[in-house]
Formats: sequence, structure tokens, C-alpha cells
Amino acid sequence: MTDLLKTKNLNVRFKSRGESIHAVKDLSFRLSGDEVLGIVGESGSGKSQTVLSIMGLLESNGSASGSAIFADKELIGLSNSELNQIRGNEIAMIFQDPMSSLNPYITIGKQMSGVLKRHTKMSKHEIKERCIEMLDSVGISKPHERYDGYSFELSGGMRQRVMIASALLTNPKLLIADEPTTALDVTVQEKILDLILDVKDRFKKSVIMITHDLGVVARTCDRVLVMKDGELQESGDTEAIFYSPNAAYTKELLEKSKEINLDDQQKYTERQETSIKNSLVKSSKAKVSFMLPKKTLFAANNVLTAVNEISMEAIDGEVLGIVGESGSGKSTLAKTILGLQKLTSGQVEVFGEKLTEINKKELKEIRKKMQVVFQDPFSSLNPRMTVFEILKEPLDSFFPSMTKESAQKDIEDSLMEVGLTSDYLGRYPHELSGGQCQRVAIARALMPKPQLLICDEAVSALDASIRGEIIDLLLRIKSEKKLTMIFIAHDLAVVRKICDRVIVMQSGKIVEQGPTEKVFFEPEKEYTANLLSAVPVPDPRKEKEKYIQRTQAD
Amino acid sequence: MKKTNSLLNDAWSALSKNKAALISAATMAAMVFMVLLGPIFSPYAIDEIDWSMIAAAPSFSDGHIFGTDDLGRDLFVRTMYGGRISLMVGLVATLVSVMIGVTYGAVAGFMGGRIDALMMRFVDVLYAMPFLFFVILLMVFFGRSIFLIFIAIGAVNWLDIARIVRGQTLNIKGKEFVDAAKTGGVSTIKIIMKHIVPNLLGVVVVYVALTVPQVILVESFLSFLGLGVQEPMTSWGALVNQGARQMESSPWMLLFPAVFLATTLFCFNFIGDGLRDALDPKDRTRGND
Amino acid sequence: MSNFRFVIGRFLGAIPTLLILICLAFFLVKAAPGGPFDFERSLPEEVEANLRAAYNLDDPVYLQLAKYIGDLLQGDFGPSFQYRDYTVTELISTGFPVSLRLGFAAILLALFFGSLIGSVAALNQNSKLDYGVMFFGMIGISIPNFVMAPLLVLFFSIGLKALPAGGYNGGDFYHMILPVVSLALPQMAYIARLTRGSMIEVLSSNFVRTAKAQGLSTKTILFSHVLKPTFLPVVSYLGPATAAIITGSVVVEQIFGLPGLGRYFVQGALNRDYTLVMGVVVFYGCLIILFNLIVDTLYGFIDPRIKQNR
Repeated sequence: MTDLLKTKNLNVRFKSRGESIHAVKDLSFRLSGDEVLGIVGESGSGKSQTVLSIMGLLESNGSASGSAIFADKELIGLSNSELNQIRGNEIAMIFQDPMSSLNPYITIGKQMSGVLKRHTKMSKHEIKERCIEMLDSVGISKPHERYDGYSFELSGGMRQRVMIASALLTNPKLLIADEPTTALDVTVQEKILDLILDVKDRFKKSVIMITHDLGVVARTCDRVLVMKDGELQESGDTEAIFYSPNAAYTKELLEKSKEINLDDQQKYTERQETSIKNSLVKSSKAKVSFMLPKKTLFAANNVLTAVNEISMEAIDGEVLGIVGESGSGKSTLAKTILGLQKLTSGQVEVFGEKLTEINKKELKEIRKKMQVVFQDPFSSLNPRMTVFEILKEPLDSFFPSMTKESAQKDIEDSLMEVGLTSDYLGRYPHELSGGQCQRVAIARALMPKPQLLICDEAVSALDASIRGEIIDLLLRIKSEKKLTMIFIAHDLAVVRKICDRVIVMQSGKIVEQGPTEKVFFEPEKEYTANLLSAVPVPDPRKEKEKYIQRTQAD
Repeated sequence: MKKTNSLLNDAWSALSKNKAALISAATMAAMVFMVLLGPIFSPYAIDEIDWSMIAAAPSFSDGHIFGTDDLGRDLFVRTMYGGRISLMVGLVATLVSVMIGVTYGAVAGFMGGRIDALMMRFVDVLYAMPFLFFVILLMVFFGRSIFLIFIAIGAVNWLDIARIVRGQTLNIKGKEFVDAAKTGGVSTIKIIMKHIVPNLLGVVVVYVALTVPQVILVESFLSFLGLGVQEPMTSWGALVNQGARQMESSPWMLLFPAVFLATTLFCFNFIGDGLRDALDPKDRTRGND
Repeated sequence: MSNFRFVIGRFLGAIPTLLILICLAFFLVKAAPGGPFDFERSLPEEVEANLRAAYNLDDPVYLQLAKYIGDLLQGDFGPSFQYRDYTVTELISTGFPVSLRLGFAAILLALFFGSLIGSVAALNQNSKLDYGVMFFGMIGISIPNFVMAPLLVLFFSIGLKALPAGGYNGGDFYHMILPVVSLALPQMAYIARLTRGSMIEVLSSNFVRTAKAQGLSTKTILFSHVLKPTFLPVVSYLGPATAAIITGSVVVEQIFGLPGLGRYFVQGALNRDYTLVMGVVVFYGCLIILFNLIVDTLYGFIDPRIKQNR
């Protein structure tokens, strides 16, 4: 088979404030007519800029040089109008954020038909028929209605389907997907990835899949390019790359992703069974509902029940994981336990005290023993306070009689504990990196020497390499201080790594709970099983098996 | 622990990169200086009539560097005094509106729920009122006192600030550091004082800078119509009005106050714009790993 | 059906605002020392009798208010103090057409050139042209119309002798040029800056990138993807713009000696013609509320996300 796309010494440079940034360096690769090529790398690796340069979509301060030959045509240096003959016609692209990548001001039908109007001579009627046919073929129900509807009426997954449908309208030879599922929940991700593979087979296309997730590569790609800092590290067949990597960087990436790997059975099985002790947190039929704004004055009250009669407990000394997709109510449950969210009905007992029956002073006493680390490292620190002021605040409120000297010492000690030096005391949050901010947030939580630490998506916003460091830090502190931890996350691999027991939530209810090994390897509920198998693992053979199972089951 | 004021630092580093704003700030500093000290160096008083010099053109030899008006009064001194009034109105009325606006907006934002909805509905209603006309009504009914001008202008210019502050308060209230402070046992008062108010300062500074020119404009508008500052005092608006009547024979009477007024508004708009670009929380960029 | 209900709902929502406007004006006049209801001032008897009759001064306050509102609903603003032979309604109906003509021309001018200039600047972002537009835009915003108008007269009428310096002359085109331009300039500058900012934001949005990736021509992208979201903020600015134009027309009519409503208003204010001033305030207030309402409703029809929520 001849090459559909072939690049040679492709370079991308950006000019920014007089500085020149070399984003892609001498990249050469080829793509044959019927394969899925993955480009994988961490943020800043130049993987997105590579395809944007091929498409002629670089920002105005960027420029590309070298060669990219697509179907015997040189793309680099083509004029905008020449590129427009190819873009959307022979090469189509779908983007990461389906929320903002579709125009909210015009109907889906108008957006889709624009592509056909531009590239074909079809009649109005034919165009509409073709659009609806494509919507139908990507699994959009009621395509006629959706055609006249708007993108904001759809869920994230549905929007990405619409993006794929519009990309397929002109029957392009190459489909480029730039992190197509990064913004989506894992079960939705699975469906979209399957759809892309299905489309590829059905319509005989080549696909370039750009992603940071090795699991996604293992699931979807025939061949892979590994990139770092704009340079190609290694390329080859997916299996070769995963099972016998050559480049040091590839090995490092694989190591990191396997460290927190769902399928790594033997590593964590000898976790100690917590002998049943007293429970620190105990909720019985806890329910939290919100009133949604009414659409009209006389409409009935619109109620959203975020936490629906949840009964659970957290036992002294354990790490309890609460997992679920967005909208499952896991964060609301955490806020309720922290006393930040009022219960609608039911009861939550924390350290033996019933939250609905205590006054402010008693709540403060409980909070001394219970602290929290939030998700967003930047918004969880007050931008107008120095690290010192941030760490001193809980001391001032919980131990007002503490002397200045011992406060100073406590603050320096805890900073040391989280791996920072006292040089950081005078800094403001915006002078810190995301990982450093999260360390400060952990230090703050440790100031009152709590027994219970609640981590609400505490590592979700961090890059993969930093995520590992923070997880290690949390685990070390947990065992040194004999803390009980409630760890809330959507990332199953992280939960798998650090939790003793897991609660799986869906739409405000508990689906399943039990010891981590039990839930992860012998899930009782179908939802849990689907959730688990939806997570792509960095193991191409296993992913192939899973794919065959899924497609045969249908 | 040395306490660096991060807000001032932010504002300064932002402004120092913005040439237009920097030049504007320098111009305004010079303007304030001139308005305050200028009259001291002039041999003439504000209401002193030079009978030999009726509507005389600007000249250095006789000390009337901006010329004189149709009554023979020195235009330089009058422009400087007018500037004092205009700038003072700008400052005082802005303070009035900022105080009302910040309090109202912060309370609405912090209370949230029904109270917030009610308070904001009220602001919406007031927004629809033709306010300048009400200020004129006030002037007509209650006499043209300068204090009334301060209060009237300040009292009607707080709506924007209230809206912005309320939005910002809601935003900050939802931030994780407020929840973290609550979990850290910090009292409500302290949360407001230490976590919410300092984070509001940025927007308030921006809106102070943007409100000052609006307020100066309203005052000069009223004075232009003869409904603002009364003789023997004067303001730029009143001077422009007198100048406009004589512009055919003595154009300097129009040009000098007009240039001063326009320059001031121009500078404040640029400073406000620069500050907004720098401090608007929306545009805040942060360091990465 | 739902469109009809939406529009009706918006109009009903404006009624409390209108009532508050009228009450505010009414009680302000009542509270004024030396106001029209203060008969310590020596008024000719016939005027006092007229007033008593017109304002039902012997009734309790709430009845006075009710009757005042009732009169307003019939278009009756009461008699004028200053122009003894006219009612306020008559004065409004002679002055308003002139003001309407002036204001309408100004807002069209500001809207057309403002959006055009702003769009051109946005499409050439960070070019010399863009910086020039931004700079002159700022000057336009900073020079109030009562400064701009005399300066234009000084230059075009006194200096170049190209255009008349004032007078209405039956609304003759040449006589209207300077008033309309000086009224429109600040709004034009504001709209230009607003359009520029809005369009730059839209141009850098992800959905425009999608459209580019679909190979759509720049023209198509501009017309079918960019224009609508760009002009949404401009549409919602039309309300405040109208208010600003009405306010500006007061001084512009004064400067150019146009026999519009604003001029009556200033004369009334200077001569303490309470009924006239109050009448004009209520009239303009209603006009502004009505216009805001129209703009608001229009916005609801343009922005699909609002349509969704109705």
C-alpha cells in the first residue's frame, strides 16, 4: 500500500514576545491508507501542533517548514484557498472539547450542511438527507430532530458524535482525532473510541489519533509515534512499542502508566484487612437535594437529588475510595461529610456526632479532626495570601493560644513534611507550580493534626508525572500519621492503587461497595464491571480481546 | 515575614508593561499637580476682572497665558479652579458610588438565594431608569448645590459596581479556598475579611478607574447645561459652555478647557482599560509546572 | 404560541419598572421645596386653579397618584408652567419628532460605522490599522458630545465655512450633518471597540477552528459562524446606547439650536417648569424602558440559548 501521508523534516516554530519556540523538530513519519496511527506524548510534546501544521491551522504566530505530502500533494506552503480544497474534504478533523468546538448559535444541520455546500455540488435536499444519514450512522437517535436542534441541547458524548458525523460527510480519506475523548467520562470515552474504530472499518479510512493516554493508544492504534519536547522518540507497531520498547522515554512512560494499572493483580493483593474498628464517619440514608432555577414563574419546582439516601461508613485507619463518573454525587457527599453542605434528610455521624444536631462550636471541634484537600490546586489557595499565612490560618483558629515560635516551627515542619523548604513561606500561590500548590494544600490540611483526611479529586488536575508524586506523598503521610482517608476520584486506576475499600456511585446512589480487590476483580454489578472494563489499559493484546468481546456482544 | 502587597504589585507590574496606561498615569499626575499648584503662580484670582483685557488672546507678556474670558477674567486660573472641581467631583462621587456599590454587591453575593435575587432584581429596575434625567430633576427641585451633585452622581453610578462585585463575590464564595477555610475552622467574619474582600479589591480598583471619567463626564454635562456648579465657582463643563458661546471671536475660551477635560477623560479611560486587562480575574494567567 | 407568550411575558415584566419610574418622578415633585404644589409662591390665580384641577390637590396622595397615572395613560401630561398656552403633551408632540429624527439618524450612523470599523479592526488584529482604530476609538469615547459639537462647529462652520453652524431649517440635510455626527461619534467609538473585542473573542473560539478545519472559506466562516455571536453584545448594548443618545440629544439640541424635546427640557429645567420637566422625564423614561424591552426581546430571538430557556 502506498503512503497516504508522508512527512519529512517537519518543523513548527512559534514566535512569542521575541522568543522563538521550536515546537516540532524534524519530524518524519508515514501513514498508509488503512491504519490508525497514534501520536502519543505529554503536554508540550508537540503532538497537536504536528497535525495542526499539516492542516494549515497553526496560530498566526506559528510557522511550519519541511514537507508533508498527502496523496501526492505537498501541503506545507499551500495557500489558504488551496488548503480549503483539502480540509474538510479529504482530511477531516475532530477536536478535544466537543462543548466549544461546535457553534452554539446555529443549528447542527446548518453547521453540517455548510461542509457539503462547500465541497460538493449536492442539492439542498440531498445535503439534508446525507447529513441525517450520517447522524444516524454515528448513533444519534432522532436525527431529524437533532438536525434542527442546537449543540448545547446534547450531552458531551453526543456532541462528539455530531463532530464525527460532520467529519465523515464528505467521505474523507483521513480522519484526525485530537484528544477526542479527554473531556469525556470513561464509559462515554469507550463508546466514542469504538465508534471511531467502527467508522474506520466501515468507511475504509486512515485515522491519526492524538492522545496522552497510553491506554487509548493500546485500544485503538495499529502504529504509534512517541513524542517528547517536539522530537520523535520512537515509532513502530503498537505491540512492538508496548511489549519491547527501545527508547528510554517510552519505557519510562510505560512504567509510569503500568504503576497504576488496573490489571496488575498480584501487586496489591496482600493488602492488610482492616480489623473492624470504630467508624469515624457513618451516614444513614443521607439525602441532599438542590432546587434548580425555575424556567417560568409558574413551573413546578425542579429538584436535583445529588445524594440519594446514601448509607456508608469510613472505618478508622482505612483508605476509603469513592468513585463515580461526573454527576454521580461523590463530591456532594464529601461536602456533606465536611459539614459544608446541608442534609435534606437522613443523618451523617462524624466522630460520633450527628451533623444535624450540633452547633457551630461542636462542628469546629469535629473539623479539627477532619481536614480536606481539593481538586484544583490554584483555586484551593487564596491568591492574596502567602504560603505562611495560608498555613497559619488553621493554627490561629484551632489553637488561638499557641505561641508565635511554636506556630512558626509547626509551619516549617509541615512544609518539610510535604517536601517543600521554608523558602516557600513568603511566596504567593501564583508563584508556585500546580504540584507545589497541592503540596501546600496538603500541608494546610495537616496543620491541626487531623485523624481523617478527605481528598476530593486531589490529583485529578495534575499532569501524570506529578500525579504519581502526590499520590506517593499522600500514602507516606497516611501511614506515618495513621490517618484515615476518604479518597474521591473518577480515576479508577488511582483508586485501585491506594484504597482499601471502594464505594461505586452512580446518579446519587451507591451501586456497589466492598474491599478494593473484590470490587475490582469480582464486581457484582454490571455497572461496575462496565465502568472497569471501559478504562483503557496500556496493553494492546488485552484491549484487542476486550474489543472483540464488546463487538461480538452487540 | 515580610508582607509584600501582592495586589499593588500586580497592578504595578501590569501597568508598567502598558505604555498607554503609563503615559496616562504620568499625565494625570502632572494634571493634578498643575491644578493644585498652578493658581499659586498666577498673579490673578479666579473672579478678578481685568477691565483692560476683555476676551484677550493668550499671551505670555501680560501673564494671561490662556487669555481671558469675555468678562476679562484670567482663563488659566479659571481652568485650574475648574479642574479642581471636576477632579474632586470625580474622586468624591466615585467614592460614594464605590461604597454603595461594593457594600450592596458584596451583601447580595454573600447572602445568595432569594435575598440576592431580590436585590439584583431591584438593580435591574434601577438600570432601566433614565438616571441623568433624575439627577437633573434633583438639581431643579433641590437647588444646585455642589454637595448634592456629589451625592446625586455617586448615588446613581453604583449600579455597575454592585453588579460586578456581586458576581465576583459569588465566584469567590464558590472557590475551594473558601471551603478549605471553613474546614479550617475560620469564622464567617474572618472569611469575609480575609478571603473575600481582598480578592474583590482587584475589580474594585478597576471600576474606580473606570467610574472616575464617567462621573467627571456627568458633572461637566450638568455644568454645561448650567445645572451644575454655579458662579463664581466653575468647572470644565461650565467653561466649555461659556467658550462655546464665544468660539467665533475667542476660540481659546473653548479650546483650553475642552483640551483639559478631554485629556483627563482620555487618560482615565486608558488607565482603567490597562488595569482591567491586568487585573480582570478572567484573564489571569498562572505559572505551570 | 411560545413566542407569543415569551413576548407578552417580557412586556408584563416591564410594567412594575414603569410604575416605579412614574412614582419616583411623582414623589420627587411632591417632595420638592418650592415645587409646583407649594403655593407660597405667588402664582397667577388661573394657573393655580389649573394646577389644582390638573393635580387633584384636594384629594389624598394615593388618589392623586392614581389620577396622575390615569391621565398619563390617556397621554395627558398636564399644563406647562412656562408656556402658558400649551399643555406638556402639546410641547412633547412638537419637540419629539425633531429629537426622534436626530436620535434615529445618530444611532443608525453609530451602529453602521461602529460595527464596520470594529469588524475591520478585529479582522486585522494587531495591525497598524487596528491600533489606529483603537486609539481613535478611545478618543471618541473620551470626548463628550458637548465638547465635540463646538469643536466640529469651530472647524467645519467657522473655519471651513462648509456646513451651517446651527438651526433646524425644517430638518434640512446639511443642517443635520453636524448635530447627527457629534451625537453619534461617542457611541460609534464605543460600538467599534465593543465589536472589535467581541469579534476577536469569537474568531479565536474553538468552533471557528472547527469551521476552518472543515475547509470553509473565510467569507463563509465570517458570515455564517462569526457575525451572529459577534453582534450579540452589540445588540444588548443598544439599550444603553439609546439612553446615551437621548441624553446626548439634550446638549446637542441646545448647541445647535434645534427645536427638539431636549431643548424644551433644558429650558424647563432652567426656568423651573416642573410639569414640563417631569413630563419629559416620564416620557423619556417610558421610551427607554420600551426600547430596552424591544432589545431584550430581540436578543431572546437571536440567541438560541435564551430561546431554549423560555
